[in-house]
Amino acid sequence: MKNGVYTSLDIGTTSIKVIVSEVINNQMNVIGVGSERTDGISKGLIVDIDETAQSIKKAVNQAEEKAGISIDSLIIGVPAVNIEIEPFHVNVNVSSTNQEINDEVIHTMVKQIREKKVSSDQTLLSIMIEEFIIDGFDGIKDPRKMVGDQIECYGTVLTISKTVLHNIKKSINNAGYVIDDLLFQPKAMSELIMSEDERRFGTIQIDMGGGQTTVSAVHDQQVKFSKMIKEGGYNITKDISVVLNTSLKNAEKIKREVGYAFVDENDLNNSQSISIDVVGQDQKSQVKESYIAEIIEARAAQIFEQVKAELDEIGALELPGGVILTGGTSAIPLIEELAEDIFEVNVKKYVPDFMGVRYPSFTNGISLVYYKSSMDDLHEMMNHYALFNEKEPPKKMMKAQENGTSELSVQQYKDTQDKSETFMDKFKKFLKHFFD
Amino acid sequence: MSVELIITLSVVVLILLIYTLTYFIRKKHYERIDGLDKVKKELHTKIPVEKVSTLDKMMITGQSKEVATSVMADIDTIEDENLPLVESYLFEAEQATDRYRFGQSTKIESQAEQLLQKIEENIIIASEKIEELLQREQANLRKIDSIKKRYHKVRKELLAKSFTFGDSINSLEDKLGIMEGLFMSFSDLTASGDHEEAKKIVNQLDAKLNEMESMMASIPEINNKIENDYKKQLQEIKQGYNKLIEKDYKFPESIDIEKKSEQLTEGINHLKELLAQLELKKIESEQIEVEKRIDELYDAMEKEISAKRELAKLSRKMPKILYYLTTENKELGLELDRIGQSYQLDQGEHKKYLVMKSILEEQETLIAKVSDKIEKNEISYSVALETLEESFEKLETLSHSYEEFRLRLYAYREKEKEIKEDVEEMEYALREMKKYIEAQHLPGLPDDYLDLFFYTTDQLEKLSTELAKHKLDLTKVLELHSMCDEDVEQLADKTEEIVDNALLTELTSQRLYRYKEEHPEVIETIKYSESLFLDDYDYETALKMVREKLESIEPGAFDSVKDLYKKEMQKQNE
Repeated sequence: MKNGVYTSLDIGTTSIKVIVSEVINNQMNVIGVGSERTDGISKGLIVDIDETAQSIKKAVNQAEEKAGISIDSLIIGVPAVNIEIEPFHVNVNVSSTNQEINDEVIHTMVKQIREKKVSSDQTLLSIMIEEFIIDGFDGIKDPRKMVGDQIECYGTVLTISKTVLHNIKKSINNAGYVIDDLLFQPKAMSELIMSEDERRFGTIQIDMGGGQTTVSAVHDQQVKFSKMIKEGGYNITKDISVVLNTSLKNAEKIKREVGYAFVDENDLNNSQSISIDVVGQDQKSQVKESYIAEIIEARAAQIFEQVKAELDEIGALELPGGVILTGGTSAIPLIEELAEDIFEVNVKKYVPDFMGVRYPSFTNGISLVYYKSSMDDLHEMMNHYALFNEKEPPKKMMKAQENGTSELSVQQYKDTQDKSETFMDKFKKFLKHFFD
Repeated sequence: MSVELIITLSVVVLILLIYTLTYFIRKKHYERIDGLDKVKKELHTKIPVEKVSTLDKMMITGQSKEVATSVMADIDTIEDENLPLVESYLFEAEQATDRYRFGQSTKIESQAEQLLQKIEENIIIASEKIEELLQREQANLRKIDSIKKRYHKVRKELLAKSFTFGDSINSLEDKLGIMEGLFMSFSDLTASGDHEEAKKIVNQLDAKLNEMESMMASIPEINNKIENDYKKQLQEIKQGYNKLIEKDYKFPESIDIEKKSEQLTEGINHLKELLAQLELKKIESEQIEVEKRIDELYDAMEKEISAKRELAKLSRKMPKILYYLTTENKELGLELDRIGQSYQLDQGEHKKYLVMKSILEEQETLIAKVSDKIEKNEISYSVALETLEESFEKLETLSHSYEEFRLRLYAYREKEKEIKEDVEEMEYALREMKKYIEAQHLPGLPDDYLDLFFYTTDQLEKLSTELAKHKLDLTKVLELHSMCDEDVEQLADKTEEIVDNALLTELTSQRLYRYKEEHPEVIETIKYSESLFLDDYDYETALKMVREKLESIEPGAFDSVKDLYKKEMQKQNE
């Protein structure tokens, strides 16, 4: 992991979360968390840019207050909506055999991928590399500094709808922040919640959010499949509210406090009752907890059935890693039992375990910083080319550099962009150290 | 001017001065002596010489004579001794002044002055006494005239209205006779000239007449009361009593009407006797006694009459209340048995029931007995009424006791229900706590917390077992219940505390982390706190570590962290 301070932004349907963490000596410390409810997102898509920008600002301010630093750039999570995931194969001839393969070659490959794989309404988001082949030698992880005539690359390319990406970028800009990086959320998540073996042999992850559920299949270290189902925890709350005739606020509270997602015979027979406020009635009415659980189970099962249909189509449930549940809605007790019942594979739940972040609703946010800090050079560079279609470092980096912001930013910059340091930077750094 | 001349002139001036001074002093003394002489002469003219001679010529005897003699002697003393003495004082004073003995003169002058004052006083006293002696006879005659008028009036009234005075007439007439005698002796004394004695007789007569007048004012009324009111009432009482006896009324043994009537008759007769003797004071007190007796007799009879009515009403009520209470008693007996099977009755309910039952039976017997006596006319209505009323009151109290008893029995069930509800609530609270703490995804929980949690669960289990028993021991249940209540409360506090401590530790660590540059040792602190957090689950100490460190670096920072935490918790709960 690379030392530095990372700030992630998770734009969820019901809330926007910001996590600031610092990596020192391979250890990640969460130093600030912000969370803000929002009305600007619907089913994972931004529907009101201004509203979203406002919420982003508030969430970032919260995190700033906690971390005691000022934040100006964010690592953004991109949801699995209107995306296309496709395998690719590119082939580049190196002009001179004696020349080492350099960044220029990599850039050319990205260019080829863009030309071959990206349709006009889509834009390139990320590239996941399986292997490089140089002159027939396969299994190469990083071809740079090697020599060869012909270099091939196999991998998976990820494209996203231009509109979706635009809305995200616009919201961030409106909020007044610079985009540090745009990361595909399922990919980032898989890096955090799965072990390397799980990623290699194949595992399914289900991110149960407030307004949507994202199912992804990971195999060979790459996200091979990702699909968003536009139902989530909020639908459960709504169901409770409608069935029990109580306000959404109450329903949310009931869900959180007494809800569980798997009902068995035993529960039905000896379940406790709770009293709830009913709209239009002065007296509270008594409801059995098992009844509430049935409501929750019904919706959760429906979501899982949809997920299962998607997974069955590609036969992903055959993957040996089973299913990992995470996301805010996965906090409902016994939901893994229900999932196991439906998917008939091994199901486990992932809850982040960092100081200050112990809720599954923060899995996305924490995975973004985790992934960003542990991303290898090559992927980072290729993604950068893919995203910004240029060889220059991202604007944010320049900005941070010019302003000479916090020590942390400088340090981070130094770690990630060591090679492209200019003379001015060196001079500034010298001055800074001199005065320190 | 020569010294001799000055001295000579001074001496002349001095002599002139002394001469002038003595002249004025002497003049003043002469003036005073003249003044005193004038006073002496005035006093001399004040002596009632004529009146003394009139007195001397008057025909007086006895006590009057004695007084007159002493007064005349006083006058003589003034004339013959005192005034000449003044004369000689004044002469001496004049002489002393002539000889320039002013001191002596002043002394004698004041002696003369004092004596003159005394003489004046004596003359006034003597004059008054003489006047009185001269007037006595006249006064006596005037008084006796008015007394005589009053006497005649009284006498006339006594004769005219003799019937209104009843038996007292003879005594009153005797009194008139006595007064007649007094008039006679007055005439005799006046004739003999003993006006002092005569005056005493006049006073006596006045007093007697006053007494007579007041008696004659009050006696008719007293007589009227005795003759008309008391006697008539006595008669009415006797008649009424006979009528009641005819109508089968019984009177309580404590009130012997016949004997009391007899006593009343005696009382009235005695009153009459007293009147004859004119013992009005005694009459007054005895009248009260007699009236009291009359009232008593009337009351006794009225009581019986009204008791008969009341008794009729109450007798109709009694069987109803008895029936009601007997049924109640039976029902409660069954209830007691029924509830006693489900609960251990620990408040002496069985004993209490038996006591109530025995009271009921006792009253039942009593009422039956009284009813029997009424039927056989063996009891006065008032006594029967009193007994039944007392019994009624007791039954009423008993009815309340039954009511209370019933509530007390049902309270077992109520209490049980209440506790069962409470147990449910507590179980719910425990599950809530478990869920709440689980939702925090803490690395683990401290042993003492887990112990407390399991202990509380066990206690609750025990309580549930106790509640499920066939025969409930509420005392034990209540004891357990209060213990569980406390435990759950404690556990709730503890749960809250653990979560607060854990979350605050994280937030505080984050805050502390900011100072890692300036204070490299904070990393150590955070690590140590983290190990307490992650390995020992000792959130309290973990928090303490980072809190203390943070406070040492940035005083007040912990409070702001805490405020932020509170706000966030609030937001979450909304």
